[in-house]
Amino acid sequence: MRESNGDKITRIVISVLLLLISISCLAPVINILSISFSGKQAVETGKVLLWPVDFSTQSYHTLFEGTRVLASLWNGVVMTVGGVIISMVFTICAAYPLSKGYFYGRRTFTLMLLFTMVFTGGLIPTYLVVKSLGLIDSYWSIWMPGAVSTYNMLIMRSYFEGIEPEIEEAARIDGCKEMSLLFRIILPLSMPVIATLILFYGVGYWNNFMNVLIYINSTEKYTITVLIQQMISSQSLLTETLANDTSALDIVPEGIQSAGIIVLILPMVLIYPFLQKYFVKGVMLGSVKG
Amino acid sequence: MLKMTRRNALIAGASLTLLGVLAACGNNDNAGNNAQSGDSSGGKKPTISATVYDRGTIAASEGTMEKNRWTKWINENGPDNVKFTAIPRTESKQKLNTLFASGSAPDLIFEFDPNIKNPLYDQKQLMPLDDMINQYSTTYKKLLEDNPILKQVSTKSDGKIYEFGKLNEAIPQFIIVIRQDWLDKLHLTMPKTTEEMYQVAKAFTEQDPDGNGKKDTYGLNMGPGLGDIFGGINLSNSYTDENGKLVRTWDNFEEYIDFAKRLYDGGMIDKDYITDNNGAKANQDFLNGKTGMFLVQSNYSFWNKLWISDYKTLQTNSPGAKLEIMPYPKSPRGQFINWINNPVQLTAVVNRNAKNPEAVMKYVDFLSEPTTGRTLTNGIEGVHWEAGPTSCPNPIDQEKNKTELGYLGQDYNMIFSVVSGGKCSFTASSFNPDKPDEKFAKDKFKENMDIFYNMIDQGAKFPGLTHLEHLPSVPQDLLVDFQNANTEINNLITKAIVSGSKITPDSAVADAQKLWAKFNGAKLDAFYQEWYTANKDTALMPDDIFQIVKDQKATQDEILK
Repeated sequence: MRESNGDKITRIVISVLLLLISISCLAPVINILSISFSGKQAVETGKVLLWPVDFSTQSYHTLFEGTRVLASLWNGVVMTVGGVIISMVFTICAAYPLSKGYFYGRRTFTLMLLFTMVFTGGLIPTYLVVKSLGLIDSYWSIWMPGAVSTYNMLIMRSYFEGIEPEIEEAARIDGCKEMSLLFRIILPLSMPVIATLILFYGVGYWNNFMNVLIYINSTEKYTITVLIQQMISSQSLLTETLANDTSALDIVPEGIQSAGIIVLILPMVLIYPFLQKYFVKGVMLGSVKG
Repeated sequence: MLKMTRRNALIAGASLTLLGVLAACGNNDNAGNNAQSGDSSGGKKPTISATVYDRGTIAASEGTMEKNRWTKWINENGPDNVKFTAIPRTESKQKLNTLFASGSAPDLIFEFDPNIKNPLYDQKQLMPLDDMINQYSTTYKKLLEDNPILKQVSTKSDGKIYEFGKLNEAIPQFIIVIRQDWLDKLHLTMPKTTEEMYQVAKAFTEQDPDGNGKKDTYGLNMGPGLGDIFGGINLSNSYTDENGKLVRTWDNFEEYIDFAKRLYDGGMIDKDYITDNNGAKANQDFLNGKTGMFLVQSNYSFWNKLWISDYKTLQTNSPGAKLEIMPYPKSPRGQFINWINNPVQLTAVVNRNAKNPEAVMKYVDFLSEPTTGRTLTNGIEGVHWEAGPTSCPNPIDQEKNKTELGYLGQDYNMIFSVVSGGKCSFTASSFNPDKPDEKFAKDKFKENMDIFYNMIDQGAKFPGLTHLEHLPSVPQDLLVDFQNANTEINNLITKAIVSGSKITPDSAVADAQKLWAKFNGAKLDAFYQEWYTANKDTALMPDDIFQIVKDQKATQDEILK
């Protein structure tokens, strides 16, 4: 089919618009990247826009040698990988039975889970529970209370429900029991939703800030998100005359903050492309069949 | 069907078991850590716990804020085995609240912000310190005896001492620097009143002082201290005493709005100043030689930043730039002094549940010793510093010190008084006169102090009722109202400044008064009045601050001569 001129123009306008929008999303990131590779003076005088001025890797040197960024980067990886594994196991364990019409009390269990989406225990009571379980200062305090996100579990349940029942019947006729059905049929067919949820959980754990701050006491176990957040908000001490901090001498320079931000987002930026092809498919399928 | 449910039950059971195992692992981890930190306790020293700020600035090679060469030094040389809990600096309120709420707060808590500590006192979470000090203290006790003002200030409403504190250097926290080269070029003189300041700002904006043919300069930045020139515009602080009665100084607001409005309308300040909430853009403009009068923080390390590194950058970008210190001009509200660094600062409280008050007190005494203070600021003699020409510590290797001392700040000895450390703990002693740039910074410091003393002698008033940290915290039941009033009135002020002729300064103030009344202002006024009537003789008031300035003058003069 041939495109009319009107269609062409529309297409071009849309493309240009989308291009502009993507540039406006990308520009701040490029700006941060350029700042992190620029000389100190150029940064202070605001000369850096989208290309490094006085190219220098000094910020990264200072960041890697002068702070605990590597240790906390590793902590972030441990917390994220551990968390994703735990969350995925439990989410699958919850979603699979709930996707089966013959599961006894399915409605009650679903309602109970939905209840947690509306009401939470509050910060202090949750803290006390975590504390009495003896989990303070270990990553279990972050992994366990948030092991299953109800929302993610529902996405997965909907996906399972959408798998053709004929496939399941065929497997059963061939002698497949419940467990092997899950592992050999359902899960391999659910790669899109699994990849999507790995991404959801992964980003969630990676960006987790408040829980790490509250539940983890040893700075040795702080994750990179907490470290970088600390560096960036140190700036705010300047503007608060009330918190008359006699030793606020180390306001972390902008170049080092930017280098920190780059290190912080890099792992996620690297992982995204690999999961993206599943990502869109997974979310869409889940939502339509909800 | 039945079979299926049994299967599911099996899975559920297995999950639970797994959960149990995981939890047990968590437990073990924890126990392991505790045992480890217990091991490091040397011999028979009692163990206490204390907080230390974590600012994320420690190098991995140094360890962590809880465990590094200085905590080791403290535990080896001090009376106790101190177990540190790190408090993230910018989230200290959250962290301390959870620690207290769950009953796991350390014995000794170091915190600057009175708005975090006062509620702890109200909730009876803090231990009164009088008995501890009387029974076990020597060094800190003497400090209190020598400086009765410290004792006065640390005594709470029930007549007992609840906080440890320190005496700081009383110096200007904010100053104004002016481009002398621009003044000379345009044949202007240093402004002495706010009206002259306005005229100079106008000339700086309109007469192209940087000579690039473009109208791209600003008269000044909306920096820290601008409100202080008009007597202060902080809602909790803008009162004046009229025969023992507190009267709110709304006129300050009116004059400030009027001044800022005219600056804004004339393009003498950055039109986008509202979005520049941490002053980064203003700083860039100044460094690029676009700002005529620069309002800037000037205490502690900010002095060196301004007069050494920033001045150098400015002169690179704008050759021939020359800065002078501009004394605060006289406003229609009178002559006010620069905001002064809190000279008597309360920085530590003790948890009511502390097991061993004696050990806590001994540790505080240890931290108050001059040698401890020196070590936890400058490091170890012969390793990090040697005595310089003024017999004060001079760094041996700045790069090494940056790594090994950079994270110290004052964070392990937040209760160390400047009077305990003698002249070497004053800012002026930190300049090495053998280095030209540091000598210059020192000369400027002297100039600034002379201006400061002179203004006080001439009767300049303090911009506000007293230093903010010495005002009481608004009680819980009024706090939300107070915060709302603060936000809304500040929004109103901003709106008045940027909306041209639509809002006049006096109508803005009338609206602000209405907002204040709406948010229970009468009750808040009564609260401050009640506090003032009861405490005006014991709280730290401007007269006390000026007295401390005078007491420290001899030391400053000796260093700066």
